[in-house]
Amino acid sequence: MPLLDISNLVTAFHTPAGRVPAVDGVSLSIDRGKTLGLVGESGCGKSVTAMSILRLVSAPGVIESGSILLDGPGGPVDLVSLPEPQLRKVRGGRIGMIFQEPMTSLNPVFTVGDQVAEAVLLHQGCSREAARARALEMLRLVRLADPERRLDEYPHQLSGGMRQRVMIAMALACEPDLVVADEPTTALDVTIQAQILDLLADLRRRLGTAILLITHDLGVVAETCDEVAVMYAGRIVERAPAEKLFRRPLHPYTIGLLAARPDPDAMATRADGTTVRPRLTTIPGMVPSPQHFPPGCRFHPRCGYAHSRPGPDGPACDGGVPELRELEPGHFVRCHYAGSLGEPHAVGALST
Amino acid sequence: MERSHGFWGEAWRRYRRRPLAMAALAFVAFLVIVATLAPAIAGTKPVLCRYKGRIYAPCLGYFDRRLEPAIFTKDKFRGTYPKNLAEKDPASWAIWPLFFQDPYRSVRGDEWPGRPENPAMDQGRPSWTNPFGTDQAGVDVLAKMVHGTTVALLVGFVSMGIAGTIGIIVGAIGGYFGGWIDMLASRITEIVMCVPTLVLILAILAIIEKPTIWHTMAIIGMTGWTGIARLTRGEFLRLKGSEYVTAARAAGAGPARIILRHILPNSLAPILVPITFGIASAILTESGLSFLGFGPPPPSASWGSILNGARSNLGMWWLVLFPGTAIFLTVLAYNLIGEGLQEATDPRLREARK
Repeated sequence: MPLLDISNLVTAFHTPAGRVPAVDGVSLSIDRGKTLGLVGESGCGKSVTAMSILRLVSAPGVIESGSILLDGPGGPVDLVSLPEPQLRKVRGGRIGMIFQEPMTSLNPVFTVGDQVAEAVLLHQGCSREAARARALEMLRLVRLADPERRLDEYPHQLSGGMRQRVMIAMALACEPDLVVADEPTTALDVTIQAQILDLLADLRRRLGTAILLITHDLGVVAETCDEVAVMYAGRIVERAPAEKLFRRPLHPYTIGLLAARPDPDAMATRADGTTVRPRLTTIPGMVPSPQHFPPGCRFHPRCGYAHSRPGPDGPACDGGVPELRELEPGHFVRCHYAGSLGEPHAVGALST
Repeated sequence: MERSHGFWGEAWRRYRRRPLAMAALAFVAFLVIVATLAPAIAGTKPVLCRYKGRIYAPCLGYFDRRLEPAIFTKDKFRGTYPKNLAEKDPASWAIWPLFFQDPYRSVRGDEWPGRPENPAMDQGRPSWTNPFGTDQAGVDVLAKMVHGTTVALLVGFVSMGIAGTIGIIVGAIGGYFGGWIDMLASRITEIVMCVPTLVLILAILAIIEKPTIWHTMAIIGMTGWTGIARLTRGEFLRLKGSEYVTAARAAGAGPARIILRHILPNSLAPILVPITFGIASAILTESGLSFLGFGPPPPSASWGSILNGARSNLGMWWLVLFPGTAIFLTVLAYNLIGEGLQEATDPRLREARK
């Protein structure tokens, strides 16, 4: 069985305005040592999925149903129902987590060394000296410059990239089987982003850690992931091995996302013969708010391929919820018409 | 690059730049020294003496009567140490306090060579023998004040120690766990907030058979924690959602560890400020009580009880001026320290200065 197997996860927030299902029936699995990229726009539920894995969703968020099976020596355990004390051993021990904001994810009153050592102390019954030695070793491993000196420095003395390295050191200190990285490079400069991604890929190879990489950056996914899951409005809409997905995306949303990437080489020819950069392609419309998800396929109001009435090949897009179908081996799509989309039409003017 | 010393190091660096706050801190340090060395500064018992071949420290009797060596404890002996030591053992020697005046009794004329008997009542105006004058019974005011420093400091520290402990625990639990626990903690806080401290103290001191200064301190502490609890709760509410607390949870830390190691150190700075102001107000409360005659019973001296003496003898202005000034300066010092602490640890002010 895979290392982590999430099935039909539903995480909802119970706000005064009503129930908001941020994650609505997500199923994912990650094999040992592999990297899974979870991609989607802001608010699609990818971070909530990540937080649900370690049950870190805070009130009013509740995991309503589904299971998150983590395979281990004693057989798989369900993280959704695991009692709190055992769950604490999993947190940081078997699953490490890296957060988006390295500027605020470190405690300002403790030295870097103390914080990495704390992660070790929490899970391994060793002496303070041993934990400190391990912290130093970890800081070396994440290639922090001058680790001996950094050990006794405070987070505010470090740059963003250095802090993210410290966060990675903390997450990996106990040699977890899985690292959940929630937008680990979003807050960093592009050059630092590349360094951090290289580091993660390198550590994965060396330590054999599986990584769940959550991002909205398709470039990051293309560089680092074995498999990609695309999320839209609380649901997985497409899941495939990375190269397959980038070569031949099947879901209209994924097609739109990939088309929206800027292409530095693209040039358009104008009527007078001069060439200009083409306008960036966009997906029309807005991400729906979780309180007002459209019926049926949640992407249909923004979809150029949507059918308003049952067509020859399938039902209406605003009717039944499409299933996640395996169209090709390992390539799952949640679209009634995937594979036979036809020609796109203007959004809003649904074809019959 | 300059080596940093973390949050508290930075705060101290900023605090040091405020001369008034530093002066206030120096004044409190001075009071602590006076309080600890009180028996060596003013008293009639030798700090150290050699008597019949052995070394004694009778001055410890000022802290606790039982600490005075039994050989001296007869009133006849204790009353006139200098004469008795010399008469009963010609080979004896003694190191005397800086200022030969007793905080609990009037010094007689024959006690110390060349020193007249202390005047009493309105004759006791300040003089070379009694720089701050004497009270109705002829007891030296300076000696009383030196020994009363302990009470003034203890009242502040003990009552705010109690208040701080209760306030931080209640606030931390309410703020961290939320829900019905928070509801309960907040309602208890509000109920205690409604209790009029002074009336409660007066009532309890009336019930207790032998009230001591400790009772007063305990009541001030047990009623004065509400503000601290509210502030702590607010800080915990703010910080429990912070990213580093989530990161600590993701690393597997339990509630106790998160509260004590991750949230509390980060919320301590704003909590320390009302505690400091609380010390000032506790001293004022105690002085007020003593002034009204509900202070510690006669043997132990407090600044407020010296003021009490002036109530019936308005002509004895020195009984008001000196202890009043001492109370004023101490309260002012604590307020200045609190203000300095506030400015030194306030992140908004901190960034504005950069």
